[in-house]
Amino acid sequence: MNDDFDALESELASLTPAAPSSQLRGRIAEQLAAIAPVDRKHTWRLPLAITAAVALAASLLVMLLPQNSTTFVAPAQEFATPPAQAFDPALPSVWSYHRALTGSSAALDSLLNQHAATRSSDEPLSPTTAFRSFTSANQAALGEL
Amino acid sequence: MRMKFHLTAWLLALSAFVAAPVAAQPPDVPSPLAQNAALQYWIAFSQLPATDKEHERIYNELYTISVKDPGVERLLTSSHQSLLLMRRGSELKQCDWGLDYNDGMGLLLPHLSKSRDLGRLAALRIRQSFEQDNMALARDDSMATMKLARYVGRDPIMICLLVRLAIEGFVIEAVAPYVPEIKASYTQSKAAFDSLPPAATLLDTISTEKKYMAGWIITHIKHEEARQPGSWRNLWQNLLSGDGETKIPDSVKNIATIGEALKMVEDLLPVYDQVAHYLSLPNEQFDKEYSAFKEKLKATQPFAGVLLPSIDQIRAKEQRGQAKLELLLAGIAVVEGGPEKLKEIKDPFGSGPFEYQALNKGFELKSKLMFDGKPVTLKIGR
Repeated sequence: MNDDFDALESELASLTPAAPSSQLRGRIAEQLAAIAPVDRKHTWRLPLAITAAVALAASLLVMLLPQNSTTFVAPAQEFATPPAQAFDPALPSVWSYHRALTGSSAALDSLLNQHAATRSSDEPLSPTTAFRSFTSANQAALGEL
Repeated sequence: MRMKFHLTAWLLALSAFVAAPVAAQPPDVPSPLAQNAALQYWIAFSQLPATDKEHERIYNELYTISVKDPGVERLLTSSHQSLLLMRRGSELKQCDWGLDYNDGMGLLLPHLSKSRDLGRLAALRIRQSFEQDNMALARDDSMATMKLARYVGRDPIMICLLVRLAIEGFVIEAVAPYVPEIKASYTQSKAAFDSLPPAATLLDTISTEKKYMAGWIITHIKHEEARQPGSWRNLWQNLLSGDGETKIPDSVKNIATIGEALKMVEDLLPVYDQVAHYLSLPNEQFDKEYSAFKEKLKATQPFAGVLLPSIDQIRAKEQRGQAKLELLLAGIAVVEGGPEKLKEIKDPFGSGPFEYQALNKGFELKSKLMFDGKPVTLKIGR
């Protein structure tokens, strides 16, 4: 094993690169002379200029944005409250309270009582299934958590 | 070497365009988002005891029931977590309930009833703390409840304003009987109240009403019509469907076209500006001019009665709340320096100081402000 290795090493050591011929040197020199000289010394300036410009733009954006202001983004249509829901008297909506405000002062208290009681004393609508035990149908999910 | 330099420069340039990944935050370090008091308040609400008949009895006698009543003790024991979280919320300098005003008439305000309930419980514990001579807890609960009130009232919506006033009222009524025992400094108390977050005024709510309530109706009438011709009628009928107490004029109920409906609401838009003008007037002028304006409005724009609540009544409640708070502070000043001290404090609704009247136990202060035909007063002591 060691003999084979030594033989290979000797062969590799003998493979030293040969010196280029004078003809090859001449051809390379001709081709290099034909290429226009490039100022490689300055090619790094472009990426650095882009970096500086981006940094400047970001700084200006931060400075020009109003401080402590809330940028309001209107909700997408699918997230908007449907009009029908707005007029559900069971919900603590502005409309419900408006109705109470235009009525007697007791109506407002009564509405607040109604909304305070809602939910807190409600029974769960259905048995909880959030942490259901594994069944044959979801055994495949074992180990994912 | 040069190659490496070029590569670094390009990577640097590229990195400016790529969003830096958010560094994972250790869970035990509160993020700036946790500085929102509403988060603490909502946990407090979730832990509120469900109201039963016994609680209703207690709330009906909030300022008179003995705090040694077993029902009161049970209620306060079961409210401990909620009150603790209310105190935590009050330590935070900002509160945002996350309301989306674009929901207009459908905007849900579930925090109002919960805040009012929490305020009532706090008032009960303030009384209990005073009775148990725990002045520090009573003082801290009072300020925390006032802060909850201000945070509720930060949104310029009329109902928020009214609930804010109600919660502030709980504190004032709970504290007033014990002022002689607190022996607080007027200067310090005034500074503490002045440092509370500002709340929206009735005047502030008018522009919200105009933009988000009337504006919402106009937008949705058009949307409904665009969705299905004629369906604007359903929205209109829903809008007018009342509690049976409010009489809707026939001229509002029986409109025939979408054009009429839109005109009715659009004609109301300048009225909001007029209301804002009246609200900025001094009381004497407001009282004189607003009733005539209201009568004229009823005759010319019947829809105003549907969309605009009783502005004069809400203004009266807002001013009563302001007067009560000033009376409480004046009471603290009297206990500290005697009735003479009143000369230094002006009644915001009169030209001079509050009136002082000694009682068998304590004293009563009276403002020039009238509410329901009677001067606004506050009894100090018990």
